Amino acid sequence: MEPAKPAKDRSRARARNREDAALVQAVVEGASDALAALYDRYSGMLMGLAYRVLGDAADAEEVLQEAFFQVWNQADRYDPSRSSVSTWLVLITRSRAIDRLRSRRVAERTIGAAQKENATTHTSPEGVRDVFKQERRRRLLQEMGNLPPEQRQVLEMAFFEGMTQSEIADKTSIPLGTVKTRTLLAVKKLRKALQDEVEELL
Amino acid sequence: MTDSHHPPDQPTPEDRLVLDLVEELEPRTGAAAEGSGERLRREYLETLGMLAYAAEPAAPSAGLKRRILASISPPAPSATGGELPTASFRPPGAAAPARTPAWALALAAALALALVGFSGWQFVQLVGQGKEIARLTADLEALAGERADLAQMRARLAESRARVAMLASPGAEYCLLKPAVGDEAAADAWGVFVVASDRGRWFLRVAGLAPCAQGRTYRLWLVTDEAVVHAATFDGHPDAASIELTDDEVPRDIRAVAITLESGEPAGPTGPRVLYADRAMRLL
Repeated sequence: MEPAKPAKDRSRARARNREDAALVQAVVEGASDALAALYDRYSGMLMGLAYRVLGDAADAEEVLQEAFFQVWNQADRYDPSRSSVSTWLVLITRSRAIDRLRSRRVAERTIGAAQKENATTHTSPEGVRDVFKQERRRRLLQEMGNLPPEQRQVLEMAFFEGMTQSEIADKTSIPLGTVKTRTLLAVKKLRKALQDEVEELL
Repeated sequence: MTDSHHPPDQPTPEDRLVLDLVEELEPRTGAAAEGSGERLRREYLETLGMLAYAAEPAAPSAGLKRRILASISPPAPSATGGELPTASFRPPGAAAPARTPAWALALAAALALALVGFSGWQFVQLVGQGKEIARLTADLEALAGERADLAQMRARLAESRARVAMLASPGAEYCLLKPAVGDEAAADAWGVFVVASDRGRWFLRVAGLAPCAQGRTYRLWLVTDEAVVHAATFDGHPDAASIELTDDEVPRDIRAVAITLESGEPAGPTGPRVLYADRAMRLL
């Protein structure tokens, strides 16, 4: 586990979170350029998420479009006491991607696409210049890599494939209790390892 | 940390919170979240949200942002206001722009409406003027046609007046033209030749002459003491109706008038004489 970030970095991260919240509030008031600013900040990460779930760039773009349309229409439902803006956007995008994944029954395609994903070289310009997200991604990948493979597997199946614990148990032929235990351990470890990153989002 | 292959017999509220969050992944999760404390729930939720960063960032296509912004923009401002009005976002910390007073907005709206109304009125006027121009152009063309007809009528009237003046002239002399003896083809033909020396004009009217055969014409000759002058060339009428001829070249001392049937364009009468008149035949 890495040492905690310097106070200066945490201060910048929190200022950025406040900016995100202000952007959402501006969207509530009908500022389309605020939505554009949110898009500039998070479209690369969200597109990567949707692509990881769906394994298809066109589908991922449709999901991204739907997600931002939902943000535009339901920005007033955002509750800053419940989640950060980035997590709110992630949950919206993931939910739509998982819905599409289930409705189109392309789960089998996802595995292949997820395997191909590492070979994909589409790097977002936004991802290149956004140091915060680059650093967050680096930290997450590092901590995910520190998880035992079986724990990382169930967590990825739950998050990126939208599978329930029972579905994971069926698919992996692992007892449901074991799946739950692995999931619990994985999430708790990540929370502890990423404590400083999480703090920035609170 | 051990990886147990059996679920806990008595899961803690925190365990239930985590499992529920993983299952549902919604900002508002149920009773387990409330029982475990809001901060704990929030920390786990943010942890799960960060999993998205495990996916490699991908660049959407260049047009996606434009499509999204286009889909949220109202098509046009309406009187009732758009469902998704767009406003301008001001970054936190930036100076607030001066707020436009409501009366100024109302005035601007009124001016805009007036401008739109005026433009509409001008457009209607322009369309009306275009139609009026088209109508006047048609009238002008009709008048031009009528003017040409009027000129023709004036020319005919002037000619008629000149003829009446000639016929009523004190110097007018009338000669009756009769068929030549032995010409059976022109047995029913007749003519009147009028000459007004004081007005320098002659007039001929003949009737009953059949059309000439191919290559032949009737020729009018005016006979004086010194010469036989060719005055006109003409053809007969299919219905043997009357034919009128006039000219302003009048030789002096016309002694006789003759119409012959000629081939070609002879300098003097060579063909058979069809109608003929001399002084003995003068009427006046």
